[in-house]
Amino acid sequence: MMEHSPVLVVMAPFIGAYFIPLLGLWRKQYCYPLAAVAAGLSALFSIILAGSVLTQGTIRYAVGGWPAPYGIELVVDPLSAFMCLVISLVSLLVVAYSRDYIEKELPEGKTTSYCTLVLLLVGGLLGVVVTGDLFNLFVMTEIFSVAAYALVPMGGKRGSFLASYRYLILASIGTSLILLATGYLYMVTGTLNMADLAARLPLAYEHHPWVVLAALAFFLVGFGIKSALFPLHAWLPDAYSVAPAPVLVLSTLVTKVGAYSLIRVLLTVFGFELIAGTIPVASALTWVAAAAIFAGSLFAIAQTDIIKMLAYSSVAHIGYVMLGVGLAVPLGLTGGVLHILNHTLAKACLILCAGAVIYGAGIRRIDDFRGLGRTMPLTTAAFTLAAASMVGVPPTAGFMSKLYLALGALETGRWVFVAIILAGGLLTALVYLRVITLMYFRGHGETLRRDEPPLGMLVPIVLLALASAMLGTFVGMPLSLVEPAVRLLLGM
Amino acid sequence: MIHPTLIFFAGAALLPFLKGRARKVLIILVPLAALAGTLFVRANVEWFFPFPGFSIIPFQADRLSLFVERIFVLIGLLIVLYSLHVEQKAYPIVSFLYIGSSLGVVFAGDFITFFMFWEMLSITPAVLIWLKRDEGSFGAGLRYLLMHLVGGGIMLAGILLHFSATGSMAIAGLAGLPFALILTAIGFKAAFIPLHTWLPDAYPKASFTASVLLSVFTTKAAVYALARSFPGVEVVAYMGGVMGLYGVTLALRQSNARKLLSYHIISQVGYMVAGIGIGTPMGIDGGLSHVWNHILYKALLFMCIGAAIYRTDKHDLTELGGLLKKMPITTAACIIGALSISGVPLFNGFVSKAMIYEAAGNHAVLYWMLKLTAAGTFLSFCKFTYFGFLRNKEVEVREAPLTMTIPMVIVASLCILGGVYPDLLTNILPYQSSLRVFTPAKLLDAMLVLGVAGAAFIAGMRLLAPHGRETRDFDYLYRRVARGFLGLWRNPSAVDVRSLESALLLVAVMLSLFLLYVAMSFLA
Repeated sequence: MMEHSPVLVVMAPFIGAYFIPLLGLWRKQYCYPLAAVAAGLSALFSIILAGSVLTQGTIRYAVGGWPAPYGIELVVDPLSAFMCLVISLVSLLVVAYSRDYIEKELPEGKTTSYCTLVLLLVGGLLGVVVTGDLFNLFVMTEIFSVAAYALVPMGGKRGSFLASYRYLILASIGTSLILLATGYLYMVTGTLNMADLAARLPLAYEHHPWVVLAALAFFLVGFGIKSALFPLHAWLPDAYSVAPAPVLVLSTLVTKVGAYSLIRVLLTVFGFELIAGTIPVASALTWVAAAAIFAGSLFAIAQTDIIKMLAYSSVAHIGYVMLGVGLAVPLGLTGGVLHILNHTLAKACLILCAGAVIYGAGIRRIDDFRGLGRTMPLTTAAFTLAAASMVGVPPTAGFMSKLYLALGALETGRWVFVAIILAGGLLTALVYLRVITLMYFRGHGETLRRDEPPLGMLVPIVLLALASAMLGTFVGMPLSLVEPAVRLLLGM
Repeated sequence: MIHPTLIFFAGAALLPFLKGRARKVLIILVPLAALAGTLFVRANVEWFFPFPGFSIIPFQADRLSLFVERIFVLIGLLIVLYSLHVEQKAYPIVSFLYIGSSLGVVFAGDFITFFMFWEMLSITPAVLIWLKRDEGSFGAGLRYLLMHLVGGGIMLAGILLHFSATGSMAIAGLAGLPFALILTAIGFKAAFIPLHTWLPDAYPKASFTASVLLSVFTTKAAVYALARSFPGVEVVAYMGGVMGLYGVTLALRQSNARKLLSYHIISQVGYMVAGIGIGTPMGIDGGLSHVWNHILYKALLFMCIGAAIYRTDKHDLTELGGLLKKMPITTAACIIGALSISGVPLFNGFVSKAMIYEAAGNHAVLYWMLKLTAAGTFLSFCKFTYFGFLRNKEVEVREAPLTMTIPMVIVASLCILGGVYPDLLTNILPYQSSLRVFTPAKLLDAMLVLGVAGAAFIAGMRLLAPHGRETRDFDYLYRRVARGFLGLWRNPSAVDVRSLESALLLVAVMLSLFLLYVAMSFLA
């Protein structure tokens, strides 16, 4: 059982997704528990997986017993195990949160399809991070994308189909580019296995530099769209503004998996020498990231809708992750990978809080948040903690990832990025200060009755907020996976 | 033996669960416990936590930090007593966090801890200001927070550069760019000119109890940081002189009572900064005893004007007055505070100013800057006490409640005690400098300055009378510059993000199509 955990972590949600529609025909009320069990199992397997990666290093698993060049190989290195943990734990919390939220916010009778699609999406995300095969990565990307296209308009709001359609068009362009690039690489190397590709690419680059370059460009644009990297982020605020809150958390995971894929392709497949030395992709990426940090925060400041504001803030924070990748030095990459976790935790908490406000008070305009500090004290406190982590207030988790990023920038001697990171923090502070001050300090005197969300929604919020606050002090826990991952990625 | 920050933070964590009498008891007990903690001998104690790459030292006590801790905890207790009447639940919690974080700065033994508490020392006062919950305090708190966050960012940049240059997080050995950055960052909190605008902007707009608290900790924690890292830097010394003159000049033009006091914080902090900048043992000790004395009399002055505001609900010197008969204790305390800040012999301000003058003996320009500041201060406080309290005016008020008058009387007697027995402080000063202050020359000198200023007040009373006009400071400039940006913040829907985005996307798509074209042509 234990040695099969690389495949089980992916199969648990997929098997759940197969059975839920059948179950839904018979007894609708069992769909949700089954989804929770599937997500829980997947979380359990990813913990086991992380444990075995920590003790015995990278795990290679041949699906169905077919050896690597012919069959599909699953490769779980520390980075994959780290991503598995992030995805499966956060999606477990999302599933827990969903029960009450979906009952109220979704139209009647959507429970079955919602549960199925969520599990498909989670399975796809996990599939991307454990696979060691480029084509398999594309397939999994397609699976979670399709699930996401269907989940986004589920709230049935006005304009949700148009937004979802726009998302579909853009994201399909992205996946097509990824497929094209995979094809190009196959043309010049004759393999799809990442480890084989990594070994053959330097030679292929000598013979067919333009093909490899085109593949690289397509990957950048394709995964750039998936990860909502500025200026390819236009689908994100659209999709965010209509999707139900739990789905938003899943789409933050989607952007993070996009970032993961980019890291994987750039550093594992193309390799550090190629992207930092021969082709100056890495340094170009840092400037794109800097633009993302500024533009995302400025756009976020210009929003009046809380969900859209959070969407643009995600655009800025994907910039931090990409900055870490672009710096391509150990400390910087550590900061970038760590920020995947820290931003996911904080942003998931913020989204779920906003969801709780929409659920309870039915408001999404930021100006209407006045006085929420009194009616929803726990939710607003969690929001504030998570926002502090987003800003990077010491000693929260967000501070640690930005600290590592800044140290990485210093390591490369590019001080301007230290200034960018700090200025970005200030802009993020402005984004969240408006909400926090409205909630606490600009309310009117009257005391309103308590209106906290139900426990099933509150527990995930509080857990995420505590994690955002504490993981800065206990940064050693994520670092135990991130450090070996970074060493492996940079080939040290 | 325990870190005083922990006491305050634990108190803040417990307070939300208590109600009524138990809550009030805890509010008093927490600073009392911290005060009891100062009685233990703790010189050269260190808590040490090694981390990969650096070590965290959250508690490092030496004579300097213990000196500052004593006055912080003492005045913390008295101010907590003074603001006991505040019913707002969040108020004591935030004030404990504020006091606790300033003590955290004082005991920080490494830059990580230091920066953490430094940031808390930016956030908690802003929250304290916001707790008044009106639009004026909201804007002021926001400007306060933003300026301090900018300062914090500069500090972090300095710390990171320092770390990458020396490989150590120890608060020592600053040089080059990190030196300049960290000095600037400290300047934000120490109200260096022109980074001072948050102070006279925010302090008058906070609630009057909050402004007593604010007047003590932020700037003085920064002065501590200067004494720790930048003693004997000539630029700092002259900055002190500039702060003294600038602060007192603008104070003379104010008619809002607390704004006047706020400008005097800048000018008095100027004395401390000057003493530390001179850097001789006498200078540093003078600066630090001025920290001690200034905290006492400035808190006292804010308490008095707070009591007057509490009873009369008037904030402006144009409206105040006539309080001598109705609020005699408050008025007497205010006069003691005014005499102390003006450096009248037998009051505590005289002693520490004398020490700083002594240290500034070799810097003629600085010496005269400070002397001029002293004259201006006396002039300004003649105006403050006369128009605010003494002048004849018919008002119907009662004396302030006991919870306010008792702390005022205690602080006032401490001011006199320090003035009459200047040697009481000598033992706990870092360098144990002592100066014979009651020499005929020094007394004559002080009286001369005060006499000139007093005469000027009587002669120019009509010129000095409060007028109610707004005065312009650097923040006028800053607000003009920031207006465009903050306008977006205040009115978010003003920019059409959507069309901007579409344009950007179009560019990106064109670019990738071009790349596709190039790739295809090479493949063919």
